Amino acid sequence: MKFSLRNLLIVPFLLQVIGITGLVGYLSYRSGQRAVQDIARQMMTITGQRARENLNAYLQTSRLVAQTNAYLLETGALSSTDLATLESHLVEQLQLFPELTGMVFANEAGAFLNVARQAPPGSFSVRQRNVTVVDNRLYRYQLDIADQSKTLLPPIRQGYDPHHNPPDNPWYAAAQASPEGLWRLVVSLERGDDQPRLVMVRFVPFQTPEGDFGGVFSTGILLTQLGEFLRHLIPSGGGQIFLIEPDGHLVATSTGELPFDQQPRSDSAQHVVLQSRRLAVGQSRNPLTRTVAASLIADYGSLENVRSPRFSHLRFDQKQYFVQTTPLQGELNWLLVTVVPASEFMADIDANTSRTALLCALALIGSISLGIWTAEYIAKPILSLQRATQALTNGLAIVPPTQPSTIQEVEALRQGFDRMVGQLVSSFHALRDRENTLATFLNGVPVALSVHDQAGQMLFLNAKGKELLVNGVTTTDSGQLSETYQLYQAGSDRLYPTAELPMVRGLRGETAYTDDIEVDTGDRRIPLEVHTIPVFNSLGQVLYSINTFQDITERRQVERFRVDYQRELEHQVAQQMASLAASEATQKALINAIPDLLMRLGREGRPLAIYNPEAVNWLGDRSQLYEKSMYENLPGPIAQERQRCVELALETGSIQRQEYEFVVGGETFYEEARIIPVTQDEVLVVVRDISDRYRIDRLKDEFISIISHELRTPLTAIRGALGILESGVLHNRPQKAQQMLSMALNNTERLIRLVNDILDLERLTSGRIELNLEPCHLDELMALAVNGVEAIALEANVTIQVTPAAATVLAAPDAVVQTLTNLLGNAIKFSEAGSKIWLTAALASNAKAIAAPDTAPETEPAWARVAVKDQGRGIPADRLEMIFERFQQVDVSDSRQRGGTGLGLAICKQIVEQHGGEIWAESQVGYGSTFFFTLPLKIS
Amino acid sequence: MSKRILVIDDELDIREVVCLSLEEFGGWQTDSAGSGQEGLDKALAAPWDAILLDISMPVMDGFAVYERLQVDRRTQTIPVILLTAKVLTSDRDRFCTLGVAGVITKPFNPVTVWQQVAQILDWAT
Repeated sequence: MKFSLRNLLIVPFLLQVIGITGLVGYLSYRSGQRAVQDIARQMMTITGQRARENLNAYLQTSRLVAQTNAYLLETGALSSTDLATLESHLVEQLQLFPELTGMVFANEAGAFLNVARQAPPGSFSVRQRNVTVVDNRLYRYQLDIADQSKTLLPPIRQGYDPHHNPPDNPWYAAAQASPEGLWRLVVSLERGDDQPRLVMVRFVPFQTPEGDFGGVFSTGILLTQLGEFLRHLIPSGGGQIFLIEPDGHLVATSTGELPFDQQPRSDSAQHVVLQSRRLAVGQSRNPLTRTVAASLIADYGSLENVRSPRFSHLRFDQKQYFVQTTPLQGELNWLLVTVVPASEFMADIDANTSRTALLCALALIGSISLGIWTAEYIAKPILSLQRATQALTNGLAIVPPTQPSTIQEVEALRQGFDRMVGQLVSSFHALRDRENTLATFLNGVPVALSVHDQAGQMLFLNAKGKELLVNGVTTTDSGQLSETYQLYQAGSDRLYPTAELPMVRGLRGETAYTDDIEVDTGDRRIPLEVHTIPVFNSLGQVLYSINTFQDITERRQVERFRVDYQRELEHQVAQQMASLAASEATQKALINAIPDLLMRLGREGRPLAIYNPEAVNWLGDRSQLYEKSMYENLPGPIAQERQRCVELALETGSIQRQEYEFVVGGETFYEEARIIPVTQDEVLVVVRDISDRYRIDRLKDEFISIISHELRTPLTAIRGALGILESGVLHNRPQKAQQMLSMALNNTERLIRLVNDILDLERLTSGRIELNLEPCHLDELMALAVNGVEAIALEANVTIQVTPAAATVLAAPDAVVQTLTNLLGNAIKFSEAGSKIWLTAALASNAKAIAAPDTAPETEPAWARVAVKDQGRGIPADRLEMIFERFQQVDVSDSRQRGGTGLGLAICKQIVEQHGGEIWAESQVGYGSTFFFTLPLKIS
Repeated sequence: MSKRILVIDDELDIREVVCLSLEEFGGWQTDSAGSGQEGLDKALAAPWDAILLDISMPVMDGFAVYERLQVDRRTQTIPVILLTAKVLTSDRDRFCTLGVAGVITKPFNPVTVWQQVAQILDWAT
């Protein structure tokens, strides 16, 4: 990598200045941020503590008033029976403590008094039940202090009185159990049940002057009023403060939001149910409240885990907020959350940051300008030196003057340079004189000679060379040397590849020789022989390549004559070989066409030649067929017999036969060997694999055995039944005789079915009957088949649902109906009473894929696919293919119980395959089976 | 004393014919079983003078039943006569190696089958 001097001076300087300025600016910003965080943390802690103290003082009033009144009742200073005096006492206290919303007195006797503050100041609502009054009802009236008036109000609702017997109320029992008093949230309906309000109530139990439990006194603060109080605690706009319970319910908030649901309930009892009215802080309508709550839950998992004051900050609506969470200590385990926007603290600091940034920018600009000026001052004289050097290397006669410098070191450098230029110029002149001498000498040499420089450019060509390369020394691109000097590949019109030219190879450091170049002089082509040697400098780099070349026209002519002669000779030999190979190939083809192994064998058993070794399952090592005698490669007894046959054949001159079986890889094979004598010491062994013949014989035996068994079974029953009848032992037992007759008859039927099926199948498989395929309507064939099985379906109480397809198939109608009848018959046999069978036809483009009705098939449908689906017991997967074989029922006893012969599906398979179609079954054990087959469509 | 014969064959009709023949013409007592397993259970449940056993049966064929009868000490002494529709030479060869008392080929004459049984077992007729 190279840099200009100017850049080298300027760039690192710039990077330094920018780096330092950036670092200073960043550090200053960081420390500012940290200071803000610290101050904010302190401020927020103070704000949180102050808010908590204020709240405690606020709630203390409620606590003290309740405590005092309880004390007055206990000492007898206030009477619990004189409700009128108590009422005026409570009104006075409410006037005295504006933070309280109302007070309640209730005693064991069931007396109840509630005084609550109302909307215009100086007005109160009173609810009172005096148990000494006869009607024992709850009266509700309005009290106005200014004019001392009392107005009776109608009851909230007829028949509804939640305070009918105060000791029954839950708050009463809770207060009784807490001698120190307790806080509790209640729903108040004293404004009517369409205006429920949540009140935070301090309950205190009191005793009678005699020392028994007397009742409960309470003071209450409306949650809305508590919210109002919280709003006074928050320093300025933008922030908020709210109280939440650890279970996430909002108690009060400075945002003015009602922390409960005011909707009236349909059921009167539901009006006062507290829990359903509470508002979870996560459902607050104030988005900032929701965000703060979500971040608290995210930090702590649950609000119940907040046990000590905590400072945090968060971003909301692109503004930063500081949050102080302070748990209230003492009886109330609520959390006081104070949220203050960071802008409260940040205004001055932001201004300071802007000032710092401006100063940094000014410093940066000043430093950069100074750096550029200095670099220019140093670089200018050096650049003039560089220009002079460049002119010198370009070979200019006139070197531009260098520029004097006031910098000592640079000036010394300049003077040295000027001296060096002078010396160089005189050296060049001396060199040119020596070159001229050399050229004269080379021109006198009697072979053609050229010199090329590293770029491939020809530097010199002597007089002899100019006779051959008529273009002489020409400036040319090294890639076009062949074109410039008209160099061709011998005997062709292709230019010689430049990379392969000897002069170019010489430039790669090779010593090259070639004689396949021809030069075109304009009137004729001259073949050349070229020698090239590279010339290296002291570092081993190639400086020049020197080429000598000469005309080899005469030598070429002699060579051509020799080549022609040789070619003629080779051609004749090849012809001879080809005719020989053809006759050998014919012979080989003949031998290969024989499906047997052929072996020429000497008397002692050693193979002389082996043909078609793949025709048999040869025992032994196939890679060493000729190394061992044949008797070593065969199992002992077979080898002995073979040897005996060979000897007998040689002795008698007659052909011997040998049949034997052996096992290879667990499979048994059968082979037949014929030993034919050829000469007195040689036989021809022909071995044929006859395993297939054995296999067919065995299959035939098995089939006959099965048929015999299947025929004999019904015959035994018929013969037995008839024999017994004929003997007369059943003379006196007509019922038994009738049973024997039925048995004989049923088995006769079974025998007939079996014989018919065997004959059908035999005719189909032997191909003795050719099915006559004709166009027929598939839906008609389906209808015919269904018609045929209707009776047995009815008897079995099985319904058949048919979905036909309007398709014309190329089929033998009777055979298709037989197939359908067989499949339907099977389905009915294996169906429970009351179940269903589906017979469906559809078009398919290939045998097993069915064309979707709504998409155009890629190819025209060529097949009709018929499916018979039942809900029977199903077929195990490993039997799905086997069932189409003869006598391969899933359960052999089926043939007796279900009346099948075990040949129905085999017949179906034969019929479908003769149509060119496919038949297969799919099944799920326990859920049923579906049999499919395909028939070719008639192509219109 | 009347002989007791157990007939094991999966074909109901054949069981009926065999039992009827043996009872009517031989005057013997019979019981029958419709499968190999049922046959084995019945063979153990009561003493038998002979067992007539079918070869081609599903699940457990006659060969398997015979093998199990021979393994159990309580049943190995009961003579077994095969009652079979298998008539090929290869089948016959296999029967000979088993050591059964005899073989009766289906179909058989229902009037004289009891005599065949008695002859095989050397019972006085």
